[in-house]
Amino acid sequence: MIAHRFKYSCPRSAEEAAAELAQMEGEETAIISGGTWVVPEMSHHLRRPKLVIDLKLAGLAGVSAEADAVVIGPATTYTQLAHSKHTPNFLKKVVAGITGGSQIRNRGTIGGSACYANPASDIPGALVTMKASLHLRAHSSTRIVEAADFFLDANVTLLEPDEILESISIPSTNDENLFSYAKFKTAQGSWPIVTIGCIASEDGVARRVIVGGAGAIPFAVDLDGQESEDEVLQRVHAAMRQPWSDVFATADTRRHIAGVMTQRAVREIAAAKNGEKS
Amino acid sequence: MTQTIAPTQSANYVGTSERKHNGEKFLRGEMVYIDDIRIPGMHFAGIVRSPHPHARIKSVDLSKASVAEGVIFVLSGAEAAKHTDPIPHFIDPEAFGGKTTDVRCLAVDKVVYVGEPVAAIVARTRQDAEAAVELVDVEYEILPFVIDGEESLQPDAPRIYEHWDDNKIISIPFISGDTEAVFAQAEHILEDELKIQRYSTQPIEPRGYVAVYDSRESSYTFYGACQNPHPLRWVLSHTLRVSENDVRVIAPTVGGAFGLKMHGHPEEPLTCILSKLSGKPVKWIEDRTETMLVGAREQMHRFKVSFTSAGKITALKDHFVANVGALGAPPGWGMVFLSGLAFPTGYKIAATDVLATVVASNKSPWNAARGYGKEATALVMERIIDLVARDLGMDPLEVRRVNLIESHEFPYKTAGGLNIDSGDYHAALDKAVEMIGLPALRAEQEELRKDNRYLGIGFAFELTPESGDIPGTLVGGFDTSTVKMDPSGKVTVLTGVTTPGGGNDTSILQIVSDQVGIEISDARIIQGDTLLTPYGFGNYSGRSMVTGGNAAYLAAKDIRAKLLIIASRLLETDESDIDLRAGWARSLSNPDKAIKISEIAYTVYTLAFATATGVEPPLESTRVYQPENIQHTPDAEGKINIYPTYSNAVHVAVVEVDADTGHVKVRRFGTVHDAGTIINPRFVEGQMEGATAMGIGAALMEHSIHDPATGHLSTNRFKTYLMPRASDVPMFESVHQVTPSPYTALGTKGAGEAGVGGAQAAVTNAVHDALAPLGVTIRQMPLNPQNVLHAIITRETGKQA
Ligand SMILES: Cc1cc2nc3c(=O)[nH]c(=O)nc-3n(C[C@H](O)[C@H](O)[C@H](O)COP(=O)(O)OP(=O)(O)OC[C@H]3O[C@@H](n4cnc5c(N)ncnc54)[C@H](O)[C@@H]3O)c2cc1C
Repeated sequence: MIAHRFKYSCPRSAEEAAAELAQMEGEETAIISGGTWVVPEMSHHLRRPKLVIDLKLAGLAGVSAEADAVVIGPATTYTQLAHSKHTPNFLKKVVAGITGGSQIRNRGTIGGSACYANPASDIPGALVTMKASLHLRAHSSTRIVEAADFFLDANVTLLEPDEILESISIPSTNDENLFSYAKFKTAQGSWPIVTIGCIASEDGVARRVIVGGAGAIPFAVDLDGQESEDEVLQRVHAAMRQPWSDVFATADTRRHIAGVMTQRAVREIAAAKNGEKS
Repeated sequence: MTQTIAPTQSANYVGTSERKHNGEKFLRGEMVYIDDIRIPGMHFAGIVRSPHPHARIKSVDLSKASVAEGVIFVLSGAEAAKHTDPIPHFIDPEAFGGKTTDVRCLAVDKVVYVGEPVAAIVARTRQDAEAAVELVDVEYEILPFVIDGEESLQPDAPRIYEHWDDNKIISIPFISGDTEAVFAQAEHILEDELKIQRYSTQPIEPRGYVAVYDSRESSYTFYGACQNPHPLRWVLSHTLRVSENDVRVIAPTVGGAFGLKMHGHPEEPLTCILSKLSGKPVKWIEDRTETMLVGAREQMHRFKVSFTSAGKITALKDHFVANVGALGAPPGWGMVFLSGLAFPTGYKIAATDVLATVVASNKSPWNAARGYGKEATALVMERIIDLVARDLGMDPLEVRRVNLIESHEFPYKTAGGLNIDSGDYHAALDKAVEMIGLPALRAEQEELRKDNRYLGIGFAFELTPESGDIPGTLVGGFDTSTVKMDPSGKVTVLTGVTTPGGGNDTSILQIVSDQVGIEISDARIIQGDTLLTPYGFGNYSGRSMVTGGNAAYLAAKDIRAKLLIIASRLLETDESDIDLRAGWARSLSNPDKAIKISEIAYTVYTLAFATATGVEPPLESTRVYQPENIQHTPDAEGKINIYPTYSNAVHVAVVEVDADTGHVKVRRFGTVHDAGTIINPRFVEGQMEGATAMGIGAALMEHSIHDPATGHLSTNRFKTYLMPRASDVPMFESVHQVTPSPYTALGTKGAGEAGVGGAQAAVTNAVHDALAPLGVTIRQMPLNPQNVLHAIITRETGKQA
């Protein structure tokens, strides 16, 4: 149960939210998008914000199609992503595998997952796989960063304390390409130990595989499609620079499984390509 | 008075899968659980818990908390000790020759585990109480700590209790024959080890209590999500320094228990004393992170067996160590005693040398957990059988057949002194082989191996001694039921056994309804109130039907006898000619002659000096049931038998292991279960299915992990303490086998604990069967990807595990 008292605000726009943040000057503040991370943490007394800024009325939910990108509001829930016709195919697949039941899918948001940067979550790896760019807003400035640069460490992103994530744009260029997404986990309800995302190049080759969960942040494995299975393993092991371990698996185990799962993703894409031809 | 009636519908309830008599109320959310109880003026308790695994308490400053919003009362450990005595142990190790220590509702001088209660708050709301908890300043002097069981046994380990000369609570030997002599002559010898992880039980409803102190009567009413209201009353009265008849314990509907809600928890007397000292009714509801603190089951086994080339096991040695955490007052540590006693389960092994060592550490205390230690024995024995088979290149089923007790050998006295009632283990094994379709599976296994896919089939036999009575403790092996029929012919059953949700209440009503010939909807049952029900021990050890059920049967038979006398007078026919069924007494020879049971009842109460002369009113009977076969007087070898009944089962698991990642998928799971006479097949299956799911969780994922650096529990939420979901387990296939117990009135055996160890063992054996081509032995449970992969990799590279 949340035991401490706090101020609650419900800004009407991203700019209003950023303006409120700017005034907090070092005081603990929590932004709530769906609240599925923040509220339990407050209930467990792990977080005691003085101010809670709820984004629900800030107009930050929704998926829209632009000329060469799909723009997703950070407060878009998994259910909304699943239902929108603009949601990229790859992301649809990711969303279909979100656990936690309707409670989480109806409340949890893409932006909340991105900003929390939990190593085992789906969204950080998915954003990197889709080469998403993130639009960040402070009171008097905005900037755009690539998903691949946004994640710095477990639960650490480029976001400054006075910044909010305002939108996510995903280039629509590869949306028709072959792709694969897989999670490796101990049980249905558990955090993945490894997630593997790959959107193949236009010619149907797995050139860039994104490994999530295995390390502190998602990382890319670059391939040319000519590697032997052993070489794929070596690439994965070399690419994993920020090891991560938790109660489910040590860093060594994660590295091993990441290698196996990457091999499988490459094989899956190749099989799909061959299937298409025949 | 006779009248013509339509032929009655069959109302023979026993043996049918009657639905839960109050199931609809459960579905509608109308049952009253502990958190639904609200008393006028009720306040809420907040508990300050130790953040350190081992520390001396230098001072407790409650001044800020005492003036915080909503706070009406604060309590330190030192102050609590002035008003309470130590909590009596459910089973005191000292009584068995071990060491003991005082356990108090709030720590006084030092804390010995993270989460130990140190101080308490009473506030207007739960929110105020939780906020005030944060304002309590406790100054600690941090002491070195130990959380590993074997490290704790080392002479230089931090001493958890200063008045002990080491951290060992007790070592209990179970010895039969001369194992060393047998080993010296043995054809084959095998040695190995198996580490069973710490894991727990997680009922959907956590613990919770509401205490109401009545200052005029100097008495307590205590509502608790608990399993054993009467024994808890004794504990509360001793801790709170009031007489036992000044405490009333009421257990409302309980949302699962599994042993976790057996008593001895500090919060039980704490809520009471907070109510007395604050002058308000006080509620405390456990948070899931607190539920997760309670541990169980962690054991390190090192075993050695000798056997012949024909697979006959000739001697078994297993010296194992159980890390029970800090010594708590609940019956947790007693599980280790049972693990030792249950060897060698249903196998005929003449020479056994089992030594159960119980060691304390700075983890949080254990409580009882479904299986009560016998699940560990099942796992270890079944691994031994499969290891022997592997060593000899024999079929593990054959090794089981060579060693299992045969049906003509019952009653069978085990090396540990248990007297096994009845069974047909060989038939159960055959049924399991048939139900799973073994030959087809073996063929599929061979096919898949060609593609480097690893299918495995594992069997496990499980013996579950149930309904125990531990001498000198309030772990009683008998129980009492009252059956009352009122002048309207409606029945009220009051019984000392309680239900954690499994349905023993409905089953008892089935027995009673059949005996007195009424519709089950005309009977109600009251459990879990020390003021209303006869003295009883509540639920544990698969005992409720064996004791409370049989007691209700005897009491109902008394009523039946009276009903038959009156019916025979009114129907003018012999008692033997009368059938009681569905609310009617009817002549069997002349079915047109019938009378309502309610009229007979009314006759007993209203014509006591006329028609009912000689039939003692009222229609009430209280009977106790003490099963046969419990033997507390030591035999020639000094052994006692604490269990009357021995349900048994054969489990079979089919798994597929991904050898590249260590992931295990359970494809099928089947059980052949013998719980003696079955009152309600669906409830027995429900118990087995739940226990099986628990066993699969135990085999594959459940693990309470403490951070070695801080002593904190890392797995304190369902996101980190993994339990199987519906999608993680297959549809359960089950077959009943019935060999009635000769030692209980209805032939019932316990049902409820069986399944945990059997399922855990079958899955573990199946994983090894799957990985047989790789020659892998996994020595660390659970079989999660981490441990399976580690075993595969270290095996492949020849690295030391
Ligand atoms: C039972 C359960 C199952 C789950 N299953 C999955 C799963 O399968 N896969 C998965 O990936 N995750 C899962 N999650 C994790 C998580 O809840 C979701 O990923 C969710 O999307 C988080 O979003 P939210 O909006 O609820 O986060 P919030 O709690 O609202 O926010 C999370 C963090 O992001 C910050 N934040 C939010 N929005 C912004 C913004 N616009 N700008 C700046 N900062 C912001 C918040 O301040 C906070 O620190 C699960 C959680 C639970 C409880």
